[in-house]
Amino acid sequence: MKNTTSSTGIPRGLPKAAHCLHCGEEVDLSNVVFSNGNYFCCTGCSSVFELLNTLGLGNFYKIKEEQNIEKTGRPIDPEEAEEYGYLDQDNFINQYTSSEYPLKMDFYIEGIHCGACLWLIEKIPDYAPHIESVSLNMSSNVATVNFKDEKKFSSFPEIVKRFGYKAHPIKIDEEAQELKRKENRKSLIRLSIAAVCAGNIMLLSAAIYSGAEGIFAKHFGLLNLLLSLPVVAYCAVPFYKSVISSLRSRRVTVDIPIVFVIVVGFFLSTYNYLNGNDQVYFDSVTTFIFLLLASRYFLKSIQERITRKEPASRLLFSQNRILIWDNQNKQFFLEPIEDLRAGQKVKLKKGERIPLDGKLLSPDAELNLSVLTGENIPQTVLKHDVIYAGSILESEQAIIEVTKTGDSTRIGKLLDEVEKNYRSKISSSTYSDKFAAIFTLLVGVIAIISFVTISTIISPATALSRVMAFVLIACPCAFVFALPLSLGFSLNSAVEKGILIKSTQIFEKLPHVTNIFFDKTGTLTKGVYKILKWNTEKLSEYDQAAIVAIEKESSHPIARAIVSHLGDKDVKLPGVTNFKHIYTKGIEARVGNHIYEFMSDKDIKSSNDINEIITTKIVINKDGETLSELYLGDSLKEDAKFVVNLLRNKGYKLHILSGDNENNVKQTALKLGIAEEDIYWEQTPEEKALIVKGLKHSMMIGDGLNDTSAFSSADVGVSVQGSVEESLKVSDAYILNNNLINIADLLEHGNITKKSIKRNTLFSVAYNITAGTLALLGYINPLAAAVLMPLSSLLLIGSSLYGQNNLNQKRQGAIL
Amino acid sequence: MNIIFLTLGVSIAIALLFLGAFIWATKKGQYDDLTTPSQRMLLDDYEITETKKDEKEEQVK
Repeated sequence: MKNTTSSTGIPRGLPKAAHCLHCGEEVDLSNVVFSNGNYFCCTGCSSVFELLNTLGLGNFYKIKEEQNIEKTGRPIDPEEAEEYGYLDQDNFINQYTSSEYPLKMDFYIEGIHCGACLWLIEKIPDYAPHIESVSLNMSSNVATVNFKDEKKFSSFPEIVKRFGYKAHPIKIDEEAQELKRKENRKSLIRLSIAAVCAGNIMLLSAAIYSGAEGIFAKHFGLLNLLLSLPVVAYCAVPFYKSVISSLRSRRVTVDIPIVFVIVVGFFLSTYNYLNGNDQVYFDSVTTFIFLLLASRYFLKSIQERITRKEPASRLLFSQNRILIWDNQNKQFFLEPIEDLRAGQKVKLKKGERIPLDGKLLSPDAELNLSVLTGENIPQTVLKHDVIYAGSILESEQAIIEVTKTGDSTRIGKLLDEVEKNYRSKISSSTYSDKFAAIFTLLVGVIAIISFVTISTIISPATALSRVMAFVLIACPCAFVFALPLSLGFSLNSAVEKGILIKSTQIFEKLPHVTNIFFDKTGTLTKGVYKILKWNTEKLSEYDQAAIVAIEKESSHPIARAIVSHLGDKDVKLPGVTNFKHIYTKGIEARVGNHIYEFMSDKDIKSSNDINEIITTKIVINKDGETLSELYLGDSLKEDAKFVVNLLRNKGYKLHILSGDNENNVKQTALKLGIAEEDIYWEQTPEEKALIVKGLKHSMMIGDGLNDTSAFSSADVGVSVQGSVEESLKVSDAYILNNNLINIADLLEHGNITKKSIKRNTLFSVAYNITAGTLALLGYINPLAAAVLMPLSSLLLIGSSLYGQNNLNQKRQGAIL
Repeated sequence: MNIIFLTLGVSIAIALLFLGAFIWATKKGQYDDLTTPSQRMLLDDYEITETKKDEKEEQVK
């Protein structure tokens, strides 16, 4: 932040900080868009602002102000979004609508943040002629749109595109959706029935415990039996199902002791009630089921808020059609991407993501290979070079011969591998399953020994009732309530901080992490390519205008950086002739009578500034003589150094794993103080995964698809940038606001969750020993069980909450 | 004391009534999305401000 004024030449009169009126991002004053007295961060924001005002949608900003929404994120460039005309063609309409509702289409909308967005989207039918109604679900970001005319499906995505959102039509799988919805509703109904029955049973049991006798006791008992029937027979069904499937696969899960308690408790109580005995546990059993269902519903609903259903590859290749060469008609036709076959010729346009592996047929093309390397600077490929799916075309157009499509492309295989790795990660047994195995075994053994002992000492009848009481009261509470709750609370507070977590298993792995791998570009650095050092004062006005005019001809990031650095001065730009690329070296062009050359120079010295990483040196020649030199590069994120030091002091071993070249990675490592033997450069995604696999207890932090296979090979994969939906498909956690300090927070979360689990386990062991002994000695009657069981659950819930408060306080302490 | 059985019956009947109402609401999908409706109701008062109609249509087009 320091030297900006001198090097970029901002007028001194401007305020030091400003926020973009549309998206709320802080505006870099060297690159501000000033329109009608308002600041914007980019022309995208200012044009959305103007559009909204012309349409009479200015209330968008009023809502934002009244709801205290500061940031809404940058609008997506309408140029980047696809054209949607294909949606109006018959073969696509059939794919995206159902026969039952031919005018309804669902869209997944990227860029939804707040109530103001909701208002904007749902107001569309008020003025759009073809749209009947729009209903947006903010928890899944899916908008259901009803259209008036049959062939105007493109009108909706076209409108939201101009507001800065990106809409992806979703293929409607009504059946799967309906099934999921029904499942959700069913579990809520189960929970409500359990609540009503358990509540009423508790009331009636309270009467029995406080001394109801004779006819009252008898009828109350009967009512209890009747009320517990639906709970045991209907509400607890998910537990039975899970036990059956775990027995089939010969795994012990935590549900086995649960079902054991339910079955023993219910049949013992029914038997005792029918025989006029007062050992009746209906209240304990039903409350147990209710609490279980509640804690699981809670955890599930938090998890569902985070994970999305869209498959990663579909979001990656958001376009749905492609220009395919038709041999008979000698022409390119727009066809569905699914129809693509090897050997076909396709034509791609600038900005499109290439959905296939192939060979280039055009003479040359510029490609952004960030999907494989993580670097955004385009590379030139020549005729017959291999092109991989996922690259983005940066030159005007390219003709490619298809060699592989879909899942058999390199990136398709990579994603496939990632998915497989995740499946095996998830199926590995969890902490609670291991505990359940030990617990079930232990309870079983003790029960048998006690039964034999007590029946020889006293009588088989007494032995049976005591052992039953023991089994009932020996509750795996720590794992059936406290664990989901601890995890749920941790998840929730992580979300509030901007850390989205896919699987709660991450909390079991975090405390073991010792090796941390960072990707470089976009993770440790900002990933923004800009001019770091350039003395423009010596340049004459004419030269400056000539440079801008030449660089405007090119879309290369270096050219864009130069243009935005010199700014859009109100000078008339001179005409440019003879513009040409010199392969791998630079560009050359003529302005007036002068020839200008822009050449890259390999002789790079590292910058003295603590955050800057120089990656490119450009020499500008005018008529063969050096006119000026400029240095471009990336800079470290503001908190990178702080976080790296913090983690190192905590004893973690840090590594850098990058697809970038040796010089850039070494410069970064030097500035962060990471030893040379711990850094790796020019790594392909496949190599990254191997390195991560080679070290135990590893955590990978990265930002792109080129890191995905490393994510899945690491114990914990954390992604810090990109779209949430894409990233969460392939990593365990996603950090929303791009702050590296959240990595330290995430690790801390793991430690605290582990502590809280440990405390709960200890408590549960103590409780089980005490209560179990009492039960075997014959001191546990239904009243004691009714008090002890919920009490222990409540204590565990309290303990989980306490752990959470502790975490929040610690956080505040850290911020202060 | 037989009145107890009457009140008990009434209380359970009321409980079942509310349970029924809850199940009905769940099946109707009222609990499917808990985020959006809470936002939507805050936005009822905001209307589109009037602008020239032809200009608007031109923009939409």
